[in-house]
Amino acid sequence: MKPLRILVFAIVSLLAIVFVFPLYVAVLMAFKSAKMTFDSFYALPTKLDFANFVHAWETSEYPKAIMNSLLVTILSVALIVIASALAGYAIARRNKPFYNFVFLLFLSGMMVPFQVTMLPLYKLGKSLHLVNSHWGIALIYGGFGVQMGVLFFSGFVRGISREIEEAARIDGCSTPGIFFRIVLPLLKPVTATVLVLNVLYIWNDFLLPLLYLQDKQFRTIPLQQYFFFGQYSSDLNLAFAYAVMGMVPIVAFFLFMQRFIIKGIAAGAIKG
Amino acid sequence: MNSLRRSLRGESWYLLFLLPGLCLFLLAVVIPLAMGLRYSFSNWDGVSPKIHYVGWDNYVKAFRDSDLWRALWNTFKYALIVTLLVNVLSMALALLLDGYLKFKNVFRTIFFLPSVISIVLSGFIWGYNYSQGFPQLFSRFGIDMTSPLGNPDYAMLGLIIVALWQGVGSPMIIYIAGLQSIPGELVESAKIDGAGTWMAFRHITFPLLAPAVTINLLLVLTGALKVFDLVYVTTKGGPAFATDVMSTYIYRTSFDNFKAGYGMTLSVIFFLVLVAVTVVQVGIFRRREVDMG
Amino acid sequence: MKKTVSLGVSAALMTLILAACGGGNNDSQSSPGAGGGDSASASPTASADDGKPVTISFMHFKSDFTDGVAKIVEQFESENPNIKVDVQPVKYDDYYTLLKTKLAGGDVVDVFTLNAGAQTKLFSDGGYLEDLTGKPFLADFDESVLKSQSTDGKNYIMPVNANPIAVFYNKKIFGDLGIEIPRTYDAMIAAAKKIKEAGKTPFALGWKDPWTLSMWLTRDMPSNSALVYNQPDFFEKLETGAVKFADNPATKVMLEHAQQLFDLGNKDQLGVDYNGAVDLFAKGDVGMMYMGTWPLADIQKKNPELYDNMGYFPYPFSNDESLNKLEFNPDASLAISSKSPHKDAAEKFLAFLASKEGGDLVVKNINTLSYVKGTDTNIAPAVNDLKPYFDKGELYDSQLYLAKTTIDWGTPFTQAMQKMFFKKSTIDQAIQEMDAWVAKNHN
Repeated sequence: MKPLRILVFAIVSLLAIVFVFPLYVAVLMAFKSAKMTFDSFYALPTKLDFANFVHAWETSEYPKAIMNSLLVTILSVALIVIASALAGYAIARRNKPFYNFVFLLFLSGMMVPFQVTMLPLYKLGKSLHLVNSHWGIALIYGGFGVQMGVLFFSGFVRGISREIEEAARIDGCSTPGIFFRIVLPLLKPVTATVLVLNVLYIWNDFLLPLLYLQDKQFRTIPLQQYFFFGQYSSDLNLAFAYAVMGMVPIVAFFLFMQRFIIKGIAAGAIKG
Repeated sequence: MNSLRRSLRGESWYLLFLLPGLCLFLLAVVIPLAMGLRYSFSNWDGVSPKIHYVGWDNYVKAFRDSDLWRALWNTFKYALIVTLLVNVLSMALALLLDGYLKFKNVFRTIFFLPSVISIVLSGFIWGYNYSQGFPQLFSRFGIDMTSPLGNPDYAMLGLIIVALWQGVGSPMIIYIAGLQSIPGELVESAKIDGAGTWMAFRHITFPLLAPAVTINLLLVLTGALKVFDLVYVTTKGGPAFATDVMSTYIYRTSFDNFKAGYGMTLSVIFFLVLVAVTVVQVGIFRRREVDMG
Repeated sequence: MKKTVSLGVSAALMTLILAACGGGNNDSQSSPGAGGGDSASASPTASADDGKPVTISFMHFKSDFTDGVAKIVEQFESENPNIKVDVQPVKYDDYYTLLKTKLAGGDVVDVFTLNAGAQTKLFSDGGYLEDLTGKPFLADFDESVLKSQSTDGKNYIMPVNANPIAVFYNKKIFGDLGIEIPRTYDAMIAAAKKIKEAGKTPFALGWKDPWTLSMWLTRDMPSNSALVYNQPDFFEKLETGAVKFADNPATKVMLEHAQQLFDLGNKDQLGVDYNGAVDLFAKGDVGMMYMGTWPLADIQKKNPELYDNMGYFPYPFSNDESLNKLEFNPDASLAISSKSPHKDAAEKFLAFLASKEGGDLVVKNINTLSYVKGTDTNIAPAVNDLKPYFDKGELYDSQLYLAKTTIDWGTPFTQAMQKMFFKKSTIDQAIQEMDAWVAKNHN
């Protein structure tokens, strides 16, 4: 048993190195100048040089982009969690054709290619004043995310025993009362799942902000990154410095949430 | 009478619960889709304010469009391989990192890290590594390597590797969570009863993991069928159209070829294909749940 | 600790429920103030009266020169204190997608860059462009330039900058091997073979980026078609389905050229992108690179020695020396939106760029040549090699032969060629494939 364990450990470690390598190159690039990379690709920088980071920080309005990303992500995720928890609960508890139909509607919505709705979404956004607004883009993300959210929440609720709810109903509790007082607290684990998946998607999304948040003051990290890449396409080192800077908040978020996420998801398990 | 009213009131609460989600869905998906559907019957160039409707012409044309079939074939090839590999690898990692190995938290973090960064960025990093980083690394060992993305025979493989690298994290977490909800005694007692590791996995762990498998298959497949960013930033569908998937074909038709109307037609067809896939998939899962139940 | 976290989360959820319910219901039906007031900041309501400050939006695709463009705009603003320019640089790859989406969505961009030819035609047909014909600031350009950039006989765009597209070469390699500057296509290939025998790379290609291959293809082919085989209107006819690629000998010639360049190119021709190719050339082991003037600043930074010791010669597309003039193409041109509420301010901006001062600023900050009469031409040592061609007027613009074509044949053609490079099809099959594509897509 022991040698097998060591072998497996070695294989997984090797795989881990393969996984880290591309990121290592990115970080390496960020710390070197164009000349240094040009002279020797893999050589470590001779000294820890933050020049690229300083330059990137100064020219890119990084703090503003972080604030925009945070605001958009938080608003959108909040909308998604609320709307899909409510709808998922209703669908799971009313096992009737209409609700099943709505469920399938959400599910097929996940299949709509973005290209088909891209132009209309922009037109619609313009006429409803949703463009260049944090709320506007959050509403659209809400609509995108609610489809997957409903899938998760309804699956999870189906796995919860109805007994407590029935008892509460006999005690005279109304449907919203039951939902907010009894069901909602039980939904924490699945909420964690939905939260993580959507935070990752929204934080990194590029196309929708490109359409909806073109104004400089609203740009999110990926968008700002994109414009920055365009400006310094010949200076990859600077671009990589910015890329590393853009990764820091989301990696920190994950490291901070990691334990909570796995525990949270595991606490109730996933019920498809 | 009283009970009828109560049940009606109960029902209206549930309908009210659906409302916020439905409204968001309507705004972001249904209305734009309906607008797009309208354009699909036109020969709109994507710019002109005037739109000329051409009936079913675009749809008739689409069925004779060999590029469409090639793009569909590429899309499904990519999506099926990615779905399979991502799920196998992430489940294997989950099994190992659920407790078998030391430093499991370090490993989990490492394997999750790539899914944290944007696809645009990973496409950029990998494109650079494929053409510069790896060849320079391998040349030290005397191996001559060229970028797979530059060769029609290997470009798809090159993309799948990036997708795998980026896509393993989230399913792995979901599998780990699924594993942790399986009571340890169940597996232990099976082993005491003389079942080998494989038998215990096959008959106890795997069936209990089924819900996680369902979710992961659905999520990965949906994402892979709709892949756009990754292809767009790395190969733009080339070389020799070897990686031209539906979304890049639609994009090219709509924006580079000034055929937004036809692009919408292609999107609508693609949408219908995807819905069919979902229906089949949900059907399979439903039946399996019945079998299990 | 854990308790507080989860308490905090559910408390937050509770407060957000209220916000979300309200938001979810209202916003999809009507459009209350929730959308934020300044959604239309690109086109403020102030009128273009003199004296009142106005802001014009300016979208351009020279995003790799964002800082340079900013400097030009700064100068303009300091001379016109009442006009602010809101500059939006967009990467070329996504520029037209974004522009189309914006304009079709009803947005107004006051001033934007366009390429002469098909793109301009598309937007002028859509009625988005202000007619600039006869505007005083156009007098600063050569009549022939204006004519070549006109659409249906009218000037909707003002030319800004132009680039030679030619071949950079490494003077040291050429000197060591005793190679003369090639004036014919065969001489260039002979030189390349000599370089290869010496163990160096003849051509840096960078064909991973679709535009690098397409840039070469959409020049070699029309040049040969129009000048060698006397079919200047070939692409126009292609559009209507009147001719086929198979009927034009230039197609085969171009494909043969492509295969030769590919065989004599750097390793991993389709895996190395533009930046990679420039790096290869800058390393000093590559003989030649077909390119515009863009990489000069980059090469100067990476290998200053080579920068002073490289040359530039016109790409010899044929074996007739007298035909092989210098390819000189317009790059960005400027258009004013027909729906702009600030046309006066927009015209002032164009007039500034048409002035000698503006033209010199363009040359200096965008590292390119200007069409404005009498502007500076000294942008790099290598470019000075081309001076004889400028002086003698031995210039031509192959893009004119494509100006009336709106179908994007370049992209499918690059893909068909890539198949050929990897021996998955022959030259004849590639031509067939293209004709099939045209048959499907012509209007």
